[in-house]
Amino acid sequence: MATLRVLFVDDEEELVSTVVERLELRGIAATGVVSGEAALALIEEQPFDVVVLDVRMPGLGGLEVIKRIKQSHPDLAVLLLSGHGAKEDATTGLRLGAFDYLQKPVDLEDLIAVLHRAVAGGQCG
Amino acid sequence: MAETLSENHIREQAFLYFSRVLSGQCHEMANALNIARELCGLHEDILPRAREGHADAVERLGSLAHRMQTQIDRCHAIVRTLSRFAHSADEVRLPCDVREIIERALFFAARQVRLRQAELQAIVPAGDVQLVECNPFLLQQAIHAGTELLLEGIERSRRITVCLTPDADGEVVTLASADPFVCNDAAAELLAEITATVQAAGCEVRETPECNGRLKFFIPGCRRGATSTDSDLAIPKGTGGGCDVS
Repeated sequence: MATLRVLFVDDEEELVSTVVERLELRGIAATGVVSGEAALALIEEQPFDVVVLDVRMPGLGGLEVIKRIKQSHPDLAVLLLSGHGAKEDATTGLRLGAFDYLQKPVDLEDLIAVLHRAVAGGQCG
Repeated sequence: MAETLSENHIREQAFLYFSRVLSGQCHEMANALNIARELCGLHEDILPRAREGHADAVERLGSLAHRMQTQIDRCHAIVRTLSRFAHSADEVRLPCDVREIIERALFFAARQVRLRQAELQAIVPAGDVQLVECNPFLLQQAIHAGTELLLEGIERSRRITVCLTPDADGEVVTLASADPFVCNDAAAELLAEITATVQAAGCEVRETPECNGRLKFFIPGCRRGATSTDSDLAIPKGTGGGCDVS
C-alpha cells in the first residue's frame, strides 16, 4: 500500500510539529506548515494525498485556502479542522469542496481513519 | 460627533466586550489544551522505546514534559488574566494600577493583532505602581477598542504602539500607528463608542487619530509611589496572547 502523503496546516507551530511527528510514527509521510500561504506554495512543489487545514489562521484562513486549492488541484482531498464549531464554517467548507469537517480536539486515530477514507474516496493529488 | 450614548448602551457594549474577550480567550485556551493533549499522545508513542532503554527516546520524554509545561503555563496565564479581568468589574471606580489595566487590555487585544498579522508594542515605564482613579473595566475596554480602531488602518508598518506617560494630574495612554488612520463610517462609529466608554470610565479623550494617527486618553491620578499588593501580570509571548512590555 502506498504511503499516505499528508500536509498538515495550522498556525500553532507546536501543534503542527507534534501532530506531524505522531503521524510519521504511524507510517504516514506528513509535512507541516504554519500558514495558508505556505501550504499553497508547498502544494505546487510536492504531491500530497490529503491536506488538513485549520479554519482560523492569520492571513489566509482555511476557507480561502480550500477555495484556491480546489481551483488548482480539484482532486486533492481537503479536511477542515476547527476549534470554533461554527456551523457556517462547516457548511461553507463542505460547499467549497472539503471532504470532511472535524471539530478540535480530534483523536489521532479518528483523524487517520478520515484521512484514509478521503484517499479511498478517489480524491488525491 | 455622535449623540451622547446612554448608560444602558454603555452597559450593553461592556457586556459585548466581556463576551468577546471570553470567547477569544476560550479559544486560546482550547488551542493550548489541544497542544498539550497531542504532546501527551506523543509521550505515549515514545514511551515504549524509552522503556527499552533507547537514550534518544528517554531524552525526548524530558523535552516533551517541558513543552507540556509551556502549554499549561499558557493556560494558567489566560485563567489568571481572565480572573483579574472579571474582578475589574466589581467596583465602578477605584484606585488601580494603570500599568496592569494596559497590560490586561493588550493581553486580550494580542489575539486579534496576531490574526491581522500585525505587532503590538507597549512602552510602559517600570518602577513604582502608578495609581489612577477610574473604572478599570471600561478603561481596559477603551484601550482594547483603540487597538482595534488603529488595526483597521494598518497597512505599511503593521505595528501599533501603546505608551504610558505621566501627566501633571495623572497619566496619559497614547495608542499610535505609523500608518495613516482610515476614517470611514465604521471607524467614526467605533471612535464614538470609545469616547463614550472613556468618559464613562472617568477619563478623558485628549486626541483622536484623524489628524496624526494617535489616540490619547487622560486618566486622573490617585497617588504616586504607593505599594501595590497586586503582582505584575505575566504576559505570555507568542501565540498565547500578550505583547512585549518594555
